[in-house]
Order: sequence, then structure tokens, then C-alpha cells
Amino acid sequence: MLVDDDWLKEFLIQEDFKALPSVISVRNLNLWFGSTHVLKSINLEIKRNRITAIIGPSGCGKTTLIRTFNRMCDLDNARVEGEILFDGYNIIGDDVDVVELRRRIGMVFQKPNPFPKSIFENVAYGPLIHGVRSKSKLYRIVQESLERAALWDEVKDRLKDNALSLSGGQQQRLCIARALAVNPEVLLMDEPCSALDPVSTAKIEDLMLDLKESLTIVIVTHNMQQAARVSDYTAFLYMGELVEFGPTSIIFERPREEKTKAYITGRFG
Amino acid sequence: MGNVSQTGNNRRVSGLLNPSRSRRSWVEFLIEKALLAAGLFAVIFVVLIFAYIIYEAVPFFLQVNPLEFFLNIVWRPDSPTNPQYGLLPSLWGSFFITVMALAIAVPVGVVTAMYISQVARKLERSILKPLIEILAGIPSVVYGFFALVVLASVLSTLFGEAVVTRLNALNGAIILAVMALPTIISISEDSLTAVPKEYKEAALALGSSEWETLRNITLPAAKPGVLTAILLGFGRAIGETMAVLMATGNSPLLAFNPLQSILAMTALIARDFGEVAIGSTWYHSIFAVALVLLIITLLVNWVATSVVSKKIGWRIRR
Amino acid sequence: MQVRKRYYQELANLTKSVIKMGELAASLIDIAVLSLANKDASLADKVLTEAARIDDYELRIEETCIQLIVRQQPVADDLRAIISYLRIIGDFDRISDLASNIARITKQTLDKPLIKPLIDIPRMSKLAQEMIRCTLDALEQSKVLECVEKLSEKDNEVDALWYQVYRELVSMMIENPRVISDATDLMLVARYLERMADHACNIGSRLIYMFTGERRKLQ
Repeated sequence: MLVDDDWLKEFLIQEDFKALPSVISVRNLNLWFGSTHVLKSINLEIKRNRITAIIGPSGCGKTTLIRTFNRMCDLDNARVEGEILFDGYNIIGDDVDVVELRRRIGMVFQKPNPFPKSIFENVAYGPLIHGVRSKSKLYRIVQESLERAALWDEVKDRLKDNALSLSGGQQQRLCIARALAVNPEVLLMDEPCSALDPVSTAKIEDLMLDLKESLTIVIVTHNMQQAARVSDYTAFLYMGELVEFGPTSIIFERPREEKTKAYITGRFG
Repeated sequence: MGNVSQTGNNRRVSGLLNPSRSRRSWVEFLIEKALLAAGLFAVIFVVLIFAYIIYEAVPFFLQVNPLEFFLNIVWRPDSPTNPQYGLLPSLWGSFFITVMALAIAVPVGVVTAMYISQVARKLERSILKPLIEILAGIPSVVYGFFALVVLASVLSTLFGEAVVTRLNALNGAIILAVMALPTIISISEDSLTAVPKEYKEAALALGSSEWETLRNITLPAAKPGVLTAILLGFGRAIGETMAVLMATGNSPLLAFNPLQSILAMTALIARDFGEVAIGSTWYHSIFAVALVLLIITLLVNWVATSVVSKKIGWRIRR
Repeated sequence: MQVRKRYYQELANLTKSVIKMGELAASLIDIAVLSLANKDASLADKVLTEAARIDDYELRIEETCIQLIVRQQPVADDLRAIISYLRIIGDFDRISDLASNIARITKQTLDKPLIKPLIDIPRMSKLAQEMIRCTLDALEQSKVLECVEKLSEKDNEVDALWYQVYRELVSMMIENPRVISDATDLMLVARYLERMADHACNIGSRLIYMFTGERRKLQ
């Protein structure tokens, strides 16, 4: 051996998609708003400790799709048919404990939406409503969550300040910390950077890559570059149909479908 | 080329200097002044009323010691031998019924607002909201008449022996509560509905139940609006005249029993003005009472609007 | 707080693997010429198998570059680096192909003794290796300008050696037509080494572009 070859193993080992454990399996999911058929027979596997991006033009149903994963679609008066398997249970159905489901599948929204309370109270809100009463334990959870969200160093001296006094990017990381505080297994992110500047966006993207060590992330984004940067798998949704789903590297280098190609190259229509 | 473009420019410039300019600006000027006049009209009226009331109240304070006015507990201006001008009975009466009215109207109103804004479905909302607005449109004399005839009888059968006078403070308070409800409901409902959907979604996504979300997030966020609603309800109640006049019995006593008759300031003004000789001390004393009432309502309005503006500031910061 | 840590890590790894590929290519030259000088079949075989690994490197580095462009949208010096690497690995690949050619010549002439002792050819080989190592050092330490001087200097030396070898072999062929076949082989080997030096110069130009954004052709 002239040169050791270990480094070769480090990159471009195409992992076996089928062998990875799925956290959420979407099977033949259909969704209607009134008489509008919004999601049409979606089949999708969300893999553990991976970032799955859902991309597509506005109105293609991508936000609607992830809102079914934690049943936020209930708020939108949607009619859902099909299966979403999470932890072996079909979470589409009236007998599901939505509160527990939403604790295990957290969500971060498009606009940073901290409560108009202090930073501490924001992060402590989740644990509080789930019954954590001990002050010291709460403090520990808040610190851990803020550390995981890479915000602790910036706010540790001002936990009592109103969360709205933070910058937009910090607010969004606070929202991530708030979601992490209830220790979810999956984090749904609905265009989390669309209201943020490039540096804040980069920080959140770094954060996502750190977080995927410990949880599964599904991100909806209209920013294809962002999907390319952070995700492991990409699903392209168009007019409520799942056009293509696969490893991000392949979707962006050599997509199979004409529609995907047209969308990611910006030559749509 | 340069020449052509220059003549083009010149033509355009001369178009800007059209002679019709002065006429147009004249119209603009007129409209602007007309709008200013309309705006001033209301302000001038407020100032005039205030000035007039002060002007008429001053002679009273020259004749009667203000200390006596504020501390005396007897209101007997018609006594030929020893007229007494004590504000306390009517001031207390106004506060007593207003506070009682709010004690009834605030919980009912806020809960109704919560129901309409958070729980009710579209159909329910489309029925409830107009109904409540109709409640606001009923003339106060109708409320007064209802209190005088129906409510008073119901109360005397309900409380029986305990009722001191048939027309009493509780009777007035209940009818005032009903009258303040539309204000409280519609303003609280607006502010509850105006709480950004994102807060609610964030709380729900963390796994709070609907009730936890309402209690911990929506209601605190709408608090300034609800406070404003309560203050405006207070203003509505303390300034109400006709229904109070008809419902409370109007005896100028310092009564602490809600089932006893009281005299509110508004009712005092309305009642006494019919029988007073213009220019007498009694006449001027009524203006003194009116001045106190005016100051109270202005204060309440000022506090209410400052709370509202704080709320708006908060929204803008978001 | 440094952002896009992973992206910069990936870029650094890419640079490292390009350097490793270059080292491998440079060592192949040495082995190839050694196999020729000693008529050693096993060394020649080693060149051929290692050349296959070079192809592997090329494929993977190219794929990494594509992935970085597709996924990270590099700009400015990052973009210049990635584009330069894409072309540099082509040069390395050519160098390893030329080394394989030398190894093949060795294998075809195993039973025949050399028509003359190798003097200039090992010197050319050494120079070509030095040139490649010099570009690799420049890449590793981000110091391109010192390297450029050396590169042109050594390329001139290599060219002079090639001309010397050429004339020497031509005169041998004229003297003794029976050695034409063997002399041609040696001439090809010298030619290959001269080409390798040219590739090293190409790499030098790429590095100038990569580090300064300037386009300069090294001769």
C-alpha cells in the first residue's frame, strides 16, 4: 500500500435506504379540504436520524403533508384517508392521543413564533404542561434544550428577558429549543428559515445537522438550495402528488422525472 | 439625437407647469381645510362642554366648601332650612352598581367572547355575533323599562323578605351588566381573535390541550384587549343614565345593601334637573356632580386607550 | 460562531484526498521507472494495480466535487478550488496512465536487456516527481508562487533532458538499426516523462487560478 485508503470509506457510501429504520411511514395518504383533493395517494418513508426535505412549488401541499404528521391538520378541517404509521400505530384516526402524539412529534413553524413571555418561560412551557414541576429540573431542561439549539451562550444571562427582544434568527432557534424541551423523536420544520437572513439561516442549517444525530427531521422548504444543503433524502411534491423521492444527491444531480428536473433547474412550466 | 430628446424633455416639463395647476391646488386646499374643520368640530364640542360645565360648577364651589361636597354623606339640596350637598351617596351609588354590574358582566362577557372566538363553529358565530350586536342597539329606556317592570318583580320574588325596596341597586346592576355585555364581548372577542394563530399552533404543537392553550397562551396574549373591554364596559356602566334612573329607586342614601335603593350620579343629574331653579346653588351643585362624572369617564377612557395603545405597540414589535 | 462547519470540513477533506491522489501518482512514476531499470515484472504489475486505484480516486473525487457544487453552491475561492480540483485530478490521471504505459513497456521487454544504462531517464523521473510534489506542497501550504518558479525551472531541465535523450537514441538507431525497436521504447518512456512534467505545469497553472483567480499558462 502506498497510501492508506481509509478516507475513501468516509465519503460517498450510498447507504441502503431499505435497510434504514423508518420512523414515519406514509401509506396511500389522501387529504381533502372540502371538495378539493389536496394530497393524492402519497407514499413516503421518513428514516430515523436522517433529514428528509419536502420540496415543491407553492400550493403543492407540502405544508399540508407535514401537518398531517402531528395532526395539526385537525385545525384546518381536513378530511384525511390512508395510513401514517408512527411507532407501529396509524396516527390517522379518532382514537389517537393527539396531545401525546404532538409531544413526540414536535414542530417548528415558518415565522418564528415565541410566546410573548420570557425566554425561560418559552422553553419551560412544554415541560410544564407535561407535568414537570421541580424548579431545578425545569432549569436543567431549559439549559439543555437551549444548548441543543445552540442558543445557550447567547441568552444565558438574559433568560428573564422577553423572547420578543431576540433577533429573528434567535427567536427561531428559541422555537427549536422550545420544541426540543419536550424531547420529541421527530422534529417537523415548516419552512423554518423563510423569514430569516442568510447568516441565521446557515446557523439553523448547522443546527439541523447537529440535531439529526439524536432525532429525525422533516423539513418543508421552498428553498431548493437549502434542501440540497441539509437533507439526506428529498421528496418532490407537485400538485398534491409525490413525483420523486430519493437520496438528495441523486435528486439534485440526476433526477429521473422530467417534472423534478424542470423544477430544480428553475425551468418550470 | 440629443436635440430630439431635449425637446421631448422640454415638452414634458411644460406639461408639468400647466395653468390648471393653481385651480387643482385650490381644490386640494379646500378639501384639506374642510376635513380639518370636521375634525375640529368634535374637539371643539368636547372643549366647549368641559368649559361650560366648569363655568357653571365654579359658582357652587364658591358658595359651598369643596370639602363638604366631597365628604358630606347627605344630599338634601331641596331643604329650605339646611340644604346639604354631599357627593358621597351618589358617588358611592354609581360605583356600587357599576362594580356589581361588572362583577356579573365581566365573567359572562369574557367567557362568551372565548366561546365565540375559540370554540364556536362558523354557523354558531354567525348567529351569536349579530345577536350580541342587536343587544347593543336596544335603547336604554327599553332596558330601564324592562328592569322597572320585569326584573324588579323577579328579584322581589327571588329574595322575598330580604328586599328592602323593590327598585334597588342589584336591579340596576343586573340591567347595567346586560347593557355592558355587548361592549365587553365584542372587544374581548376581537382581541382574542386577533391573537396570532401562530401562538395557538405553537402551543398545540407542543402538546397542550385546547383548554391549556386558551388559558396559558391565548388569554394572556389577549389580556390588554380584554382589559380595555372591561374598562370600556365600566365607562358604559358608570355613564348610563336612563336605565339606572328607572331601575334603582333613586334615594340618595349611603346604602351598602344591594337590595336597597340607591342614587347614581347620572340619575341624580337627570332627576334633579327637572325641578331646579336656574341660577340657584342647587343648580350649580348639579354641574359640580356632572364635573366629577365627566372627570371619571375621561379618566377611564384615557386608561382604556392607553392600554389599547400598549397592545398595538406590542403587536407592531412582533 | 463559525457556520457551515461541515461544508468546510468536506472541502478540507477534498483537498486532502487530492493531495493523496497526487502522492500516489508521483510514487507511480518512481516505481514505473524502477521497474524498467531493473526489468522487474512485479513492480510493473504494482504500477498497473495502483493505476486502477488512481482511477478510483479520480471517480470519487469527481463525484465529491459534483456533490459539493450541487449541494453547497460554492462561490469565490471555494468554487475555484473545486473547479481546479476537477481538472487537477485529470492531470493526475493522465500521469498515472503514462506511468502505466511505462510499466507495460517494461512487461513487454522483460527478456531483453536494456540497450544502454539508464542515466537521463531516472533524472527526468526524479524531476517530474519533484515537480508534482512541489505542486502538492503548494496546495497543502497555500503557497503557490514559490512553486511556480521551481516548476518552470524544472520543466526546462526536463525538456533539455528529453532533447538529449532523443538525440542520443536517434544516433544509436542510425548506428545500429537492430536497436530501433528498443530505442523507440526508451524514447517513448522519455517522452512520457516529459509529458508528465508538462502535466505538472498544468497543475501549477490550475493552482495559480485557484489561489489568485489569475489565469497564467506555465511553459
